[in-house]
Amino acid sequence: MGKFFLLAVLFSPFCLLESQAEDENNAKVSGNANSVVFKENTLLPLLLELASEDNEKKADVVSRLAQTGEPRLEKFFELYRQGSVYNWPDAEGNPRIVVNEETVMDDDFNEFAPLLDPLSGQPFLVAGKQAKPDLLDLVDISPDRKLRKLVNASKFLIRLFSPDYETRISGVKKTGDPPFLEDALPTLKEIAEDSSEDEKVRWTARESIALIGFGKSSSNLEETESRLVFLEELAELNSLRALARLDSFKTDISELAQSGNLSVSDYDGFSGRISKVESSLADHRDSVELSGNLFRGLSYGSVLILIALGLAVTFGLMGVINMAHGELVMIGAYATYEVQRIFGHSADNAEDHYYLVALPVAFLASALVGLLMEQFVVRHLYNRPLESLLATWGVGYILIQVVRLRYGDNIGVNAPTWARGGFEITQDVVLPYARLYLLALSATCVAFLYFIIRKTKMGVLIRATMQNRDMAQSLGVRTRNVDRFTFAIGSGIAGVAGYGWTIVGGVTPDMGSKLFIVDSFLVVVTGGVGELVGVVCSGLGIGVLTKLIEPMEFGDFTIGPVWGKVILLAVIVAFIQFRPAGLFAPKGRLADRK
Amino acid sequence: MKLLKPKHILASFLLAALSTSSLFGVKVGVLHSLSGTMAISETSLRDVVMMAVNEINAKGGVLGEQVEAVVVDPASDWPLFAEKAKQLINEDKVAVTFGCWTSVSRKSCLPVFEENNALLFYPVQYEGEEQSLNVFYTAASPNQQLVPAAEYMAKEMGCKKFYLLGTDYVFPRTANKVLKAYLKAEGVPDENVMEEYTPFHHQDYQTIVSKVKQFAASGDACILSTINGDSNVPFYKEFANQGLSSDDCPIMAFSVSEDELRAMDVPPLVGHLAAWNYFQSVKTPSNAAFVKSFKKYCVQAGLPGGAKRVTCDPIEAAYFGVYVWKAAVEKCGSFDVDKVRKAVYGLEFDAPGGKKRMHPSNQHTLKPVYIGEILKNGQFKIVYSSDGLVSPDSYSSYLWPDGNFPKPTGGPNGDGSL
Repeated sequence: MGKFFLLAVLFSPFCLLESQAEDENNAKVSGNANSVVFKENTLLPLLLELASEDNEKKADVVSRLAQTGEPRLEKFFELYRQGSVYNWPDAEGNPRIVVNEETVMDDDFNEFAPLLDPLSGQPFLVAGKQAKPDLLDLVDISPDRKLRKLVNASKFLIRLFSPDYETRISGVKKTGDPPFLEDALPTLKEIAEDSSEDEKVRWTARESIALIGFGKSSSNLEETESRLVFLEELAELNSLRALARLDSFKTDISELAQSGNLSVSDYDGFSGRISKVESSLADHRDSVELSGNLFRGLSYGSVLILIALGLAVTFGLMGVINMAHGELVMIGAYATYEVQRIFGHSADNAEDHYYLVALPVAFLASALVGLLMEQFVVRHLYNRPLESLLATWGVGYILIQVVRLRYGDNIGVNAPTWARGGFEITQDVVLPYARLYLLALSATCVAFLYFIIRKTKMGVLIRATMQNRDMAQSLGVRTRNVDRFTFAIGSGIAGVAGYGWTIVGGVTPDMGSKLFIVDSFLVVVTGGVGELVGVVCSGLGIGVLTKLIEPMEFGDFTIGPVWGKVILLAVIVAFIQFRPAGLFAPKGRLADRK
Repeated sequence: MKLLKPKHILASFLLAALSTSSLFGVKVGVLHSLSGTMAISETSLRDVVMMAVNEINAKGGVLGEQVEAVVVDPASDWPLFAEKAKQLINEDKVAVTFGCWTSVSRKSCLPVFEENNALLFYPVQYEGEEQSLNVFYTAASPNQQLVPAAEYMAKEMGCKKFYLLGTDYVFPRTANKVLKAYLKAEGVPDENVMEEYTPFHHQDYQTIVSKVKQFAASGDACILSTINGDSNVPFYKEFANQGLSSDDCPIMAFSVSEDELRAMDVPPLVGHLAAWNYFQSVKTPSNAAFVKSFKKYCVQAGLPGGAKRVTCDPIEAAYFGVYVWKAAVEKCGSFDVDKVRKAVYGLEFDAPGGKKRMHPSNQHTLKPVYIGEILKNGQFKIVYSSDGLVSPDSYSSYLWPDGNFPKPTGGPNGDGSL
């Protein structure tokens, strides 16, 4: 009943909305400033009425506001729904409608509510200064449940007129979701036919139109038939949103058949057509899932490679069981945080270039810590693997505690704004930018390391020292310097891993020991100690395998992350039984070293 | 010649009395992990308990005695909680202990408190299904958090499909049992409820988020999240990166408070929800004063984060726990555990988040329920508050439909009788 009331209230404004939208276009074309003034004059008195106690009056005001088709009201409706719109009566008790989203505190932690203008979002000025009254002076005028639903619907409808692409497409999408805003249909149709509109928006508009038609409830043959026609259109669009609604449709028509509103033969005919639609949509979903799973596997693999690469140098090449490897990753993450802090990058103040500067800083910070570790601890313990295991473990604990004392436990790295969201490569396959960046970063690090080890003189010296230290020494190689350099490079790359991690994961002092150390040894050991290409292959292999196992379903049982990990470890244990030295076993003299 | 005048004797008595009270005072135990996994959450509770103790001492202590807090570090090591509890009770002879966060740590030291008939104030929302006469639970039981939140999603947000996502341990598993029973009772069909768990410290949420995306494609789904600890950050990040927002599929979280949001990239999370019995944004004069003094305390004590520290539900519950104990002691005029316990029952008190009351018999606390939406600044906008206080159920009626709840445990006789 409430829904019908809502629709009835909404329907009237949106007949007018179209003509209003035309007015606005005209205003844009002619650059007529008067229309804006006219709007302020009509909007503000309407807003003041929201301070009233009368709910029906308020509902009326909301629908009249929606009639104006004013894009700025989208933000206002959102704030109003949320309860951030207040009445701040002046000295005479006349209402003033203001917005307060967030409170601020002065140096003495007294709380104030800086006020904003409800339409412009600019500071609400009193005597030339932003008003900051005590929060307790504001009168709460938030809508009740029924009104809130109306406000929410109005918000999505008004989004259809937004000049901003993201806002518009979200409006186009949400109007097609339950509770199916039929009043949006005329505008959606316009958008779908507007050839100057973005292709994705038009496609979504067509999808939403069909979904609204499909979402209607049906009580007889004709209505069901019309729903089915919409459904078949959705099948042509490969709409995954329709697939998710299919079950409820099937329940609906089987109920109709049971209650006798649908004859058995009609029901059978419908079921046949539905299962055809279902199989075509399920095919689309499966192909989306497969490509999605492969990408997710690659991206998980790239993260594994990134965090294991540093260890491939310190453990793989040098043979140091470096239990502080995870902490070196952590140092890189905190270095990134520190750079962000210095640049003042925050949610409100995007300083995205901090992220480029943080890359070398994270590398150098971890390399420096690695250098100190090598100088004071590790170099005394070459060829004593057990002692170096314990010593580096201890160093790890010291690093964790130092960082905890300096930063506490809860800090946040805000990803640069370009790393949010993703790129839709084909319909429904979205590749998040953050993941793509990590893939590129990982590839770059592998290339960088390969270049150093294979193509530079230092690389030759490193390989010579690691293969036969005595011989290299007798040929005049300063093996001490080589050791220092190699350990620092490995540590630095661990730092880069921590830097990359901040855009997909969290930062805590003990992230290294909890998240990274086991996985990185797993990758290095599976790949074959001492081989770069081994790390790449095992990292990608483990990544893709995990992401293919995890979503598998057997009847009601889904493998999921918990059992996925169990199965993966079992596979690796079995694999190591057959190839104890890993994927790429070192050959020749290198193999005899240990 | 008289060596001692009566005046002197009196003076020396007075002196002795003064020195005993300041020397011996009354000891209270603080049993929170300051290192290891749970340090991230529990150190804040230690801080706020210390703050309460300092406040009480500055105003003359309890029954004229200064309160001395004995702080121990059980290091997120569950068996160590029992050992440290033993040490507090038997060696330090504390009158009461404030402590624990995870249910497993509480379960680990519970036998110690019951054997010695000692008292523990437990300040964190948990899965319920427990009622020990030796514990006062100052945070929410399931019906004070889970059920109102699910009801809000179904009725207010119009959600028809529910994805129950949690970390794999006792709280999420029991919580989801309660939630599933509630949803079933509300007529939500089984195929519209999904349930999934991830291990502790799970970091790669790509597969799960893509499943959520398909599940939520119908536009009327939500997530009820009991994900705990450091998994929240990668989960919310992945959610936003795959292009989902609170418009597409709102997340209602039961373990994300202001304190956790400090570690997150908040803008993509705006509009997601959390259910608690207290938010820093609760608008009362006493809360403004509480937030102010907590921040001041953090700055003065040189704690990491300083003025950026925020209050949250467990912090409030830990704080008023100390005051509940103080009020009970003053009511019965004794530090004796059995007398204090009886004095706590039905006690009314002012907490930062408003007036609250202790349950007359089941050891839990009557509290208001709030639902908040995440704002850009990491605070919550309260969008729903319950009508008055909600009475706690120690055992959920959804899990014990016949109403034959188990008897309480512990107490002076060790058998759950008073």
